[in-house]
Amino acid sequence: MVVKRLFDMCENKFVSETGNLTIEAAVFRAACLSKIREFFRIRQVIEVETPLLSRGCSVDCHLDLFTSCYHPNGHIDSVESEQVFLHSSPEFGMKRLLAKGFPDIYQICKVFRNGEFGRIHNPEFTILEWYRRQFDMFELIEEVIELCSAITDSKTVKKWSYIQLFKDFTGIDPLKTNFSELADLCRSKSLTPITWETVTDALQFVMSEIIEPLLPDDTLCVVYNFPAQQAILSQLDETDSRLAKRFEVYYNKVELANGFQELTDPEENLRRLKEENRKRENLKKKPLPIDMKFIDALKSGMPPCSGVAMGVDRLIMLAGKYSKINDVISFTWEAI
Amino acid sequence: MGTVDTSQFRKKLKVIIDDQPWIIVDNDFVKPGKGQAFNRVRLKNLLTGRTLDKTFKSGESLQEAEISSATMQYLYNDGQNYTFMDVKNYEQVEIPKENIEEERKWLLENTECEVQFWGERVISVTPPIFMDLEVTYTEPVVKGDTATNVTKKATLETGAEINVPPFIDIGMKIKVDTRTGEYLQRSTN
Repeated sequence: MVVKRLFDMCENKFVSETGNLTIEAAVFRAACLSKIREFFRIRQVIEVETPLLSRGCSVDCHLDLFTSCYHPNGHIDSVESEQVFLHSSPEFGMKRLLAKGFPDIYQICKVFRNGEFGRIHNPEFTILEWYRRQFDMFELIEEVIELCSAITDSKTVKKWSYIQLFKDFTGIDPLKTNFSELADLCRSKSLTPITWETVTDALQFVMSEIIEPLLPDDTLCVVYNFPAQQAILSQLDETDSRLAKRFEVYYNKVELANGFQELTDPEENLRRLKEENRKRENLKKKPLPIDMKFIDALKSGMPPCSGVAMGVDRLIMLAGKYSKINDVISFTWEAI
Repeated sequence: MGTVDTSQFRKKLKVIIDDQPWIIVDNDFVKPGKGQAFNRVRLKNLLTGRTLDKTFKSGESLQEAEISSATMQYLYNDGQNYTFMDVKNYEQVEIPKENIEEERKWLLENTECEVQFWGERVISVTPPIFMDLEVTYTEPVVKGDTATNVTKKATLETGAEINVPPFIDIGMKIKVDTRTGEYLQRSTN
């Protein structure tokens, strides 16, 4: 009923340019956001906002960031300026809040990833990120499933460990494999393997090009216990240190959520971030400033917790059965 | 011509792979949450028409294919090769009939076509969208039989065989859409 009234009032107009958001889709999007907020209100998880700007940033070797410039005297030409970054995730700000003693928190905000544009990518997109104190990875997985089931019409859930997933879909043990075996696998599926720098890159390629297309439709697919090399800020598995407590959730072949049982030790965090910066240098990319305020906050003690990030545009796209995120975003990159 | 990298890949972009010209038919940017980005690209070979699916690492680059086009007039054929003449510089080019199987059935003497080249090699010949052609053979329709015959076959002066309405007779000139092979209407001139 609400939808019909808005159509009449707004002369039934459709946005025809890039960023194809119709009024109907906007209403749907707003309803999803409302449901998300209600989900957390019931669970007493508080909504927070952390800055989009920061001096330190993610040093993920495959991420490129947007920068911005601060001019203390406001003059854009002035020599006095400070380069800052637009965040690629609210992780550091939220963990600083947790370390200050905040209870369970969530955030719905824009994040920025340079150079990423496609059917399900926009350089600026909306993320939902939340942290649950005292939850282990499996408890958080259950909550992610509850949220996705509330928003989409998914009725089934399937879970695999990373190793089991690879073995089931490719016959290969991902922790014992090599370039040659993975290249042969690609060729056997008529895929030309690209030149990978590391076996991790090769595994991610196989995951994306061979395994993901085979995941069952209309089913929430959970993959947990990723190899440690693919989960830099997560706790390692207690029984097998080659594995990390990281999980991913897919729905209809789209990567929807990425979560960890969080690493709380400041020294270990710093060591891993420095290692990631070295990987950047190996790829001929500039190392980036590590967020030392985040590391310092960890020293005052972040509680054991698990956290997860979810693509809200993708969630809404899947829930409304749209084919691209253009349909649920007001103006995508090409239209700004 | 220059090189293009994956960030510039678009539909209709023409590139060289293994010394052959290809056109990008589809381009999908893919990036796993924590992994390297790549482009899933579907290409069509401009010489053979073959389709290829290829994945490129983000940042990889390709040579752009230099495609030129010219307006060329069809002159004649010797049964094997069809000769065209560039309307600007009068240069002639011979195209084997196998390369224009679809197009040659629309060609009249002096028909002007858009011809695309990659270097010396002809990639495509596009005849005018509409052609007015004479019907050289068709069966007469028996009066009163209109209920069952919605269309009938007709052969045109160029050799093309298409479907036409029952009232079309030998000697009539009709307008056709060369892209679809459809009868449009009787010619107005």
